Parts: sequence; C-alpha cells; structure tokens
Amino acid sequence: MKFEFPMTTPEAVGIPSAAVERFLMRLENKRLPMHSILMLRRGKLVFETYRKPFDVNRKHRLYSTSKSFVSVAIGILIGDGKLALDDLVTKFFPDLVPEDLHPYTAAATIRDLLMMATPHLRNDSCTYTPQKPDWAASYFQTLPTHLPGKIFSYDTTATMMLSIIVKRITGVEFTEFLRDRLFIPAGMSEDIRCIETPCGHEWGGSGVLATPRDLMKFAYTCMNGGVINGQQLIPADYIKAATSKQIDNTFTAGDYEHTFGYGYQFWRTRHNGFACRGMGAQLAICLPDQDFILVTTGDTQAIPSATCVIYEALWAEIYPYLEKYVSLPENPDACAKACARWDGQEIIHVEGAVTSPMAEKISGVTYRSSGNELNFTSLCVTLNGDTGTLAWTNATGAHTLPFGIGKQAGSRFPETHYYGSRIGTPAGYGYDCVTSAAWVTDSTLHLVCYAIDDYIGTLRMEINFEDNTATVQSTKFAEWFFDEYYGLATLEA
Amino acid sequence: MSRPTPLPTAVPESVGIPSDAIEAFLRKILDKRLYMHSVLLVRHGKLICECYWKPFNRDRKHRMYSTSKSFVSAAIGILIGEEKLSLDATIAELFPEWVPENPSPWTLEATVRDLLRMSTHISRISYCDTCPDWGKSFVQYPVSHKPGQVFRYDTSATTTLNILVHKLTGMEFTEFLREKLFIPAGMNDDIWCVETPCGHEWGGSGVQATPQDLAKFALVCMNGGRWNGQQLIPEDYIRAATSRQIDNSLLNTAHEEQQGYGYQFWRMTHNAFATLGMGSQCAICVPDRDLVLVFTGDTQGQPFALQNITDALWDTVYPALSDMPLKDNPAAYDSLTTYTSTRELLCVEGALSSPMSALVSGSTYRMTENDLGWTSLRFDFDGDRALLRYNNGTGAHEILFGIGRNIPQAFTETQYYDRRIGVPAGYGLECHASAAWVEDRSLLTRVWITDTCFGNLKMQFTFDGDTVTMLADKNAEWFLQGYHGFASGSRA
Repeated sequence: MKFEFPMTTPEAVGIPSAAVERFLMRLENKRLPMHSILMLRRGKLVFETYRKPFDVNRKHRLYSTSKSFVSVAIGILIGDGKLALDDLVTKFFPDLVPEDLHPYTAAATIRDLLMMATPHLRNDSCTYTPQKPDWAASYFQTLPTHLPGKIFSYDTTATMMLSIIVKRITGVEFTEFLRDRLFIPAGMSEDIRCIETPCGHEWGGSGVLATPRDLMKFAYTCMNGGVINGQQLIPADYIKAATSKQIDNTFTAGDYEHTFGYGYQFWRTRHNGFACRGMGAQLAICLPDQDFILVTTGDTQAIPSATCVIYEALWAEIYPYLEKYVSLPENPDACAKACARWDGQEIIHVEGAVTSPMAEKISGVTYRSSGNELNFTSLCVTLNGDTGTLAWTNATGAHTLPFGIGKQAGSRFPETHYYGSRIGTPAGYGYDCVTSAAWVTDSTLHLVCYAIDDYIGTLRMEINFEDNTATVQSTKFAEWFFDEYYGLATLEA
Repeated sequence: MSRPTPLPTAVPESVGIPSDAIEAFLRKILDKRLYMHSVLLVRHGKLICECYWKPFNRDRKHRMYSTSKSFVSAAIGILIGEEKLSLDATIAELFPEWVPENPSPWTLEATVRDLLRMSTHISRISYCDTCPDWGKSFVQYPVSHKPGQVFRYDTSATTTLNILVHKLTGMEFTEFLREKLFIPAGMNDDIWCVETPCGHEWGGSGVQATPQDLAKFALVCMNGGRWNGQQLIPEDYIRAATSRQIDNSLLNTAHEEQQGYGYQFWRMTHNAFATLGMGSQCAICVPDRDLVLVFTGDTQGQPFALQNITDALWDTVYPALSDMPLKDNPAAYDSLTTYTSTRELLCVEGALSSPMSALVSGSTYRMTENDLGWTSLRFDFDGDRALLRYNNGTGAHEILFGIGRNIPQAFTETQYYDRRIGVPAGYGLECHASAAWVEDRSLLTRVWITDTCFGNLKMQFTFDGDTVTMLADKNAEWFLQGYHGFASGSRA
C-alpha cells in the first residue's frame, strides 16, 4: 500500500491553529498568489490547503526545487559506488570534451557542481539558451572565468549537467532512476516527470512536476537521514552532507535569509534548517531540530520578496511554538477556521471595483493602432456583469481571453507557440490559465492572467481609457513565455 | 549661514509610544542586517528617537536620491500657488525652444501634471550620464504612447520639472526653496543638489540634506504645508500631491509600492504617504497617527529593505501607538538610548582570523586574463587590518580593510563623479572598508562609498594552495564600473 503521512491537528503537535491562520493572513496581506501550503511535524501532516484549481492530486512545476531531486539521485549513485564527489565532470563526457579544453573547466568535479561553484560567470544566462540544441555541449564550449570549487555562484547549468550525468551512468533519465529508488518506496507519485532540454534530456535544474505531497515526502526523507517508512532510500552520510553548509553564499545574497550557506543543491536557513527553493515560491523548508517541514507552491514570480515574506511568517507565527514540544488542548473551532480560510478559494484575483462609469462607454469598442512597441494592432474589451473578454490582435494573430471581475475565469491562453514538454519546441496548445480583472481607477482596468500549466507565470496588463483612446501597459513575470506582452501602446477608436 | 532649528525632543512615552516598541523596531532592522545610517521617529511634532550609525551624525548631510523628487514637487507646488504655473500647462509651451520639428501630438499634449504623477509619453529615461543636455533630451525623446494614461516611473520627468523651476524663477530649485521653505522651516540653509552635465540641479536624485532636514520637510508636507503657523506650501497642492493621483500597481512588485502615486510622492498602506529614495533614503508619514519615520542608509543590493523596514514599523511601533501619553518607563528608555547611541556602520561578519592569512600574507598573485582587468593582487595581514594591493586597467591601487571593523579612507579610484554628473572628481571618494573570513580559505570584503554619492563594492577572495580566486560586484549608480566578475591567479 502506498505510504501516506498520518494526519493530525496542529494542536496535537504544539501549534495553535490560530497561529496557522495568522501565517496564512501574513501571506494574504502581501497579496502572494499561493497555490498550496502544507505543514508536517513529527511525521504527521498537520495542515494542508490548496487554492482552486490546484488540489492534492494536481502536479505543480517545482522549478529549482528540482535541483534537490537531482542531488538525491547523485547521492544514491555515490552510495551505489557508481560515482564519487571528486570525479571530474569531464570523465562522463568524453564525446563532448574538446581537445583544447580550458584547464579551469577540466578541473571541475561533481562536488563543485553540487555546491554551485562552477568555472563560469553566470551573467545574463546559463551556458545554454532555449535556442541551443545541445546543452551539455554548451557547458564545455563556454569559456570559463575562474577556478571551479572556490566561490558560490548559483547557476542552473551545474544541475543540468548533473542530471545528464545520471543518464550517462544509469542509461535512464533521473526521474526514471528515482522512480524505483525513491518515488515508489516513499509513497510519492509514480508519474513524477520533468520538462526536457532541447537535446531530449530531462532538465533537472528546473523541470520537475510533482504534487505538494510528493515534495513533502521528499523533504521528509531528506530531513530524516534518508529514511522514510523504515527504508533507507538515500545514503545517510550523503544527505547529511548535502543539507549541511558546504560553501558560503553571503556574497550573492540580496537578503539576509539567504546568507546561511549552501549544501549540495540545498539551501541553508536560520535555526539550523535547510530548504529546497524554486522560483515562484516552490519551497520545502525543513527544521530538523524542531522536526517540522513547511511546503509551499505558488506563482510569486511578480513578487520577488515572496520567499522572505514566507520565511518571516514562519519565524514570526509558527516558529515560536516549535521551540518546545508540548501538545496543546484540541481547538476544533480554530482548526476548522484555519482550514476553511483557503480551502475551496480561488487563486487571489485582482482587487478593485467591479464596474466603473467608463465600462459602458468602452465595452465592445474596438481600438486600433498602426504601430507600437507592444505590436497590438487592435484591442476590444467586452464587459458583461462580472465577466468580460479581452480581444486583441498582435503579430501572432487575433486572440481572445475571458476574464472574471472579482473572480477568476479559467481558459487556455491564446498563444500556442510557447514550449511544451520540451524546451525549444512549441507546445501547439495554449497554456491552462486563470484570469481576473478589476477597475483600479474609474478609467483604468487592471488584468492579471496566471499561467498554471507545466509552466507557471504571470501576465499583468492595465488599460486606461480616455477620449476615444485606450492606452495599454503590459508586463510579464515568466521564464521564456509571455515575452511579446511587454511594453506600451496607445490605440484609437 | 544660519543654524538650523533642532526639532523639539521628547521621551517616547510622553507622546504615546513605548520605548521598548522602538527598540524592537530597531532590532528587527538589525536582524535583517540592513545597512542603515540613520533612523528618526517624530510624533506630535516631537523627535522621540534619533539614531545614527557612526560615522553618520546629526550634522552630516546625506544624499537623498529619489526623495529629492518630493522636494521638486514642493517647488512646483509653490510656483502654482504663486500662479506662475498651472498643472495643465504643457511642457511643449513651457519649453518651445526644445520642441522638435513635426512633433508628435503626444509630445505636445504632455502636461506638468502628467510629469508630476509619472505618466509621461516616453517608455524609458531620456538621458544618460554622458548626455550633454538632459532637459532637451526629455522633450525630444521618441514617444511611445499617450501621456497622462499610465504610471511609469521616470527620473527624467522630475529633472525636466526642476529645470522648469529654473526657467520660471531664474534660480535652481534648492535656491528657490531656500527662502520659501528651508529657512522658514528651520532646515539647513545650505541644502544643495548634485548637478546634471548641463549645469542644472539634478532634482530627480541629487539633494544633499540631513535626516532632520528631511523630517522637517515631511512634517510640513503632513501638516498641510504649514510650519509654525506659516503656510509654506499651498495646502490644496500638498494635499493633492500626497494623495493617490494614479494607480501604480502594474509594474511595482512590492505591496507597499503598489498603493498609488501622487505628485512625486508615494502612497503606502495605513493611509500613509512617503518619499522614497534608492538605498533607503525615505520619509514615511502616517497622518492618521501623526507619526513620521525618517531613515537613511545604503541598502543598494538589499532589494527588500523597504519592505523589511515597513513590516517592522507596522509590526512593532504602529500597533503600540496610544492616543494618550503613557506612564514613563525609565528602564526601557535607558535601554533604547543606549542602543541608539552605540550604533556603528555594519562591517562584514565572519571569523576575525584564519590559518590562511599567514600562508598568503605578502604573496603576490599574478592573475590570468579576466573581465575585471586585474593583473595582480597581494594581501598583507597585520592584526585586525588587511591591506589589499592590486593592479587593474586604471593603475595600481590599495584598499585597507579592517577585520571586524570599518576603516575610513579615500577610495583608490579618482575618476568618479562628485558635484556634477559627467565630470570626474579628481580625488578618491570617502569610503569605509571591512573584511572577515567566511570560510577558512575565503575572505569576504566590503567597501562602502559614503560621499556625495553612495554605493558599495563587495569582493570575495578564496585561497587554495598557490591559487587565488576572486569575485567582485558592486551596487552603485554610475560608478565602480568594472568591478564585476571573476578572476583566478597563482602565486608569483
């Protein structure tokens, strides 16, 4: 039978339900578009909430939290004697290593990649881009800048190489390798999968798709010395080292919460904790001394401080109750209230007025332009009570997007050229998305579209109507899509 | 020169704030390791907390960066009150000499109001540090959309407005404000402003004033433009300027910065308004509770500093505010004043010594070709000091780092701007340098530039066998260029 965590109340493990609710309220107050929150203490799931359309079964793109999965695959191979931390990276790529390889690149070891100390300067991008056909080759072709292993410099290139090394050793991609070794015995989803690189490898640095419960089981195994459900799945010494400080990372941190060091594809935190951290608030924060784990998913790409908000909420609201372990009296009302706060709610929508005196003047009016930096040639907003439709024409054609006002409307985003299961290859379908709008002034309609597909991203647009004109300002927070929706345009009726 | 009038002081409890709430606020800022230079709290017109991180002090002027913009707004408001200008006047009619041939209708439409609320017709800043004429660059910049429609923060709008003050009065805006605002409000009468390449004041960024000057300015703005019964800024203008004139939630990413924008003032939660400058030069005014928070610092490179500070304010001081005086709490007040009188500029945290220092001290390392342009480096360790010597594209340089403390000195490069953008100072800017061992093999260093401009340089050096590997990066506008990237080298 598939392993599941037993469930209990927050009070049973010493956390007041009211504190859990205050934790959620702190995230709401900062308008974080969260998708799920899970809390585990002493091996028991004490809180679990999802915002629609996310639920317990829906897989979520984990972005850089994927990196910790790759680390575990490497650790298992080390335990199997197939690999050593001191092995040179070049050992696994005889076919790709050029004869005149720079000595800095030649010196890089598995350990150097694990602790994000590659020989390259990561400026604007990794060694690869979506357009490069062979990402592993790009690693060897990029000129290095310094000796590897010396200084932390976060670069997804490192993880991408490690996941390809797993394939080269085992003959299977890393999620397939982990299936029998970790996912199935740990009670995780058997069909955890990963977005592919243009060369057809799994993109271990970013691409894992798993449920929040899968992530919780993964994190628990890592915190519990590699053991879950009585099985030693990850070598104990490896996972201990991987989640300990291996290198200082103060230099690159913009905020204090991320200056506690880096292990092997795991971050260190305050209070002797460690974390898996993915773009958009895909997090597993593990506090071994308190036997506590917080898992979150969301799309906070538009709110760079989100991870800090979550840490702050954890330290301020939950942590004080973790310093000792005393069961509290059950409080069913408070418990039900905390659970009800988000259960069944949609992802947060745009705040503002549902209507405006402007609404009837502009609804159904088509605005046109012969040229602008947004490349919109026409635009039309149709409003109907608490729903509406945005129609526009740009370089890729004529599009429509339904939205709710004061609520979300689900649809498929009307661009079909964004990547699907493989980077560099158009999906051919529109991403699953939810869209809401509201009037933020009498003349300004603000619209936010969240892509919630295998790719997560935010598109924000405002349209100000005045004197037979519609001025659009659009911006996006998404990696490698929504790119054409950045800029300004004024169109005329 | 007249001396500024100090703000009256009071014990926090006498104006309804517990001293321990203020200390909790300051400790939260420390807990995030924010690089602060001053924090002032004013309630009911009384200065109740005045904290400077040494070497900063009450008398030292500080670059205000974009908080300068709110000063320009006040000058515009005074001119409107004197009927020398109206909000609906167009920039094109005010600067006809700069209007290009066949102008876009959008260039002709842009008004003073559009610029005040950051809703211009251009999509990016119109000048750079090497552009000769910044005002003209704004009027002639290619249009991208109709003005007045959407918020898009742009310092060239403010710069155009302060050049307009000069055009209408014959005086640069700080000179204009001297008699109208600075002297009557008891501010320093020698507040000045960094200049543009064309010799105008750079109102979008350049004001140099003390934190108390900023606190007085904020009080005037919060008190309907009045100071001691004198109407210095027209009341209707300053009310409008500090109210929400346009939505700004689209492009901003922090909740506190999405609450709307007035005329060169920001709206915040709790019905507050604020002047916000890069690196944490800010005044936050909470009219409903008659509270002003002023702070300065150099938090460039700490993107969440404003959020950390506002969170701390709303979590500690704000909920503790009482409408009535509180009972004195001498112990808490003593604790607070001890805390505020012992602050020093933060230095790099880490171990003060490492076995490595003896192994590398005095050795010269030859660097392989690198983006930094460094050809050699050498450290000499001596107690709690580390002297770095290096050669780069601009010559031979030295920086003296204190280990576990800051050492003041002149920065070793002399080509950075001082009083006028585009003109090299010819001397090294004042700076403070510290270092510490973050691993046995790895020294982390920081240089704080604390002059007419503020910025910071961080470098990390990892020694291993006969090699050194370094990483450099900087947080500074228009200086410390080139200090970005990796290099490795070997003992010569």
